[in-house]
Amino acid sequence: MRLLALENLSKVYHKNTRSETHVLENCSFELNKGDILVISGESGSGKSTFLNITGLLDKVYDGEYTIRGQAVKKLNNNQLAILRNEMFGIVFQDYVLVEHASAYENIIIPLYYSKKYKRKERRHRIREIAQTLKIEDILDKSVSQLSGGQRQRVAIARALINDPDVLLLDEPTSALNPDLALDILKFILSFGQKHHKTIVLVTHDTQTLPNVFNKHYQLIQGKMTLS
Amino acid sequence: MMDALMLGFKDLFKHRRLFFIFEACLLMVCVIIMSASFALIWELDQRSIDTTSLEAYTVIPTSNDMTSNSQLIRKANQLLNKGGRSFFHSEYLTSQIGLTTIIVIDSDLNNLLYNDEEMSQTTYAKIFTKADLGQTLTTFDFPEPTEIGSTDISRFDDRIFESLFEDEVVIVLLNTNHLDKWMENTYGSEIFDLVDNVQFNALDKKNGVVAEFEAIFEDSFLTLQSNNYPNDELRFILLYVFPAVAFVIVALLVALTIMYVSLFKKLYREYTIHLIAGATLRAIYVRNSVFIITLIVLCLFGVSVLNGFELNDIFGIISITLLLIFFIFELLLYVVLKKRNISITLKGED
Repeated sequence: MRLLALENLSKVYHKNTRSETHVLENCSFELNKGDILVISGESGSGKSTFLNITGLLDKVYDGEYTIRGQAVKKLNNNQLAILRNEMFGIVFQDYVLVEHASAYENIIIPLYYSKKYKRKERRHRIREIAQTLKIEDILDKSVSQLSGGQRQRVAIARALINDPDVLLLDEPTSALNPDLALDILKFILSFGQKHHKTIVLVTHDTQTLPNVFNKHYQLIQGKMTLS
Repeated sequence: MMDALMLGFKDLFKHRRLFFIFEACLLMVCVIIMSASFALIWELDQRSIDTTSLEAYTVIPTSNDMTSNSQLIRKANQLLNKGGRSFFHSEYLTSQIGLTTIIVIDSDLNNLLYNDEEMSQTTYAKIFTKADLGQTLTTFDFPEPTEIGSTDISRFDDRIFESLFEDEVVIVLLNTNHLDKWMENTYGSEIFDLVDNVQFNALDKKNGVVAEFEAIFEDSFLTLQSNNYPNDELRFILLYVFPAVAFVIVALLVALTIMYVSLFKKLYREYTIHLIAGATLRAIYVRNSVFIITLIVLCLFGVSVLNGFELNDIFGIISITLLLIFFIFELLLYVVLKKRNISITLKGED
């Protein structure tokens, strides 16, 4: 079942100015339910831009982007917000957590806007995810007191909490030591396979990747090639 | 929506120190506006009752010969029935009643009694007290027919009350030609008082009453010195008070805006994370508005307390000001939220 498709996607920053930069050029790909996709490339190759567009965080681009056959460009801001909430779970390279809040307060964020889980189910759902990620004992701690690995798990818990269809991972382990990074990657990928999630992993380092992905695209100077 | 409101109150509690500083600044703005508005409204009221061309006098005794005292009083009395108004402390009635007694003389006593029945232009007197307006006080031997009743006090009466410390005062509003009878066996202090407190308006001046009044005192033991000073209060308020108030208000509003922007910067990263997680702009807007609305509501309550919960002009001015401040902050938030780009990297924004 085709979940989302991007056709001839191009992205230009500072259009029609001296510093015009072409980040993505005619990139096309499609994603089916349960796919595990890796996009690799050097720094500045447009990986994060690609992820931003896929995750509906950036709507200024050329080309066609459809989700379940629906053109994204035709959706208004509220519809995009609902899609972001229900369909995508994003883990950023630098975690992007609310520093002064507790782990619990960070994980609950997508549930505030969720229609999948009712208010009274929230606590149970958080406990469930925390148990899976082995972070139950740090839920009440402030994020600023947590180690890199713990912060990463909190970010992953937040991405998974609303049971999204697609997990977008932007260099999720780049700030961790290699052993811990591999552990976390293995966990995410096995979790994805087990729950039939679609995963898009963006990384610059493909050496340490477990060999579980279906497709591997390479981004070289804004152009996407299947490797 | 409930979650957005709850998060808004959480933010408020988290930044409570900033909230109280905000509240204090806003209250300060309101108090300054209240004071300036009060001064302006009072001054405009004063103008509306035609006090712009008052003739006021200072009395200077120039002789010890007071034989013409009763004659002077009679003439002044006759004249005050033609135009102008005055009041004086009556020693005679004070000793009769046992309470401080003030006699008010006005050519048209209906000016003073705008909520009461019309008074006849014949000899007349009316009695009430500062403490017990509208209640029967006492009857006593009065040299003229008396009537005891109630009345509202006009600004002219306010001026009388301002000059007194006692709570219980008998005010006699008088429209009689026999004032001299009341002043028998008294010394010059009453005529001093009468002349000191006399007021004429533009019409009185036009009708020649002022000139006639001054003529009475020619060759008498009293010399009148006119204090016909222009009323500069309004000019002072508009030229000096209002610019100063405007400056302070602008300074405070700039301070408030700086504080608001700093608060917004603190919350900006969190809002972005919420937007990425599926929050709508509306939810963020509602959340942020909780802070502003609570601020405004509390301020309005503070102002109401200071204003004695009266729905008057000052309350209206403050309400409009607060509403303007509310819209400015909401517009600021709208512009920032509308312009923001959640795709930018959040690295290092904390």
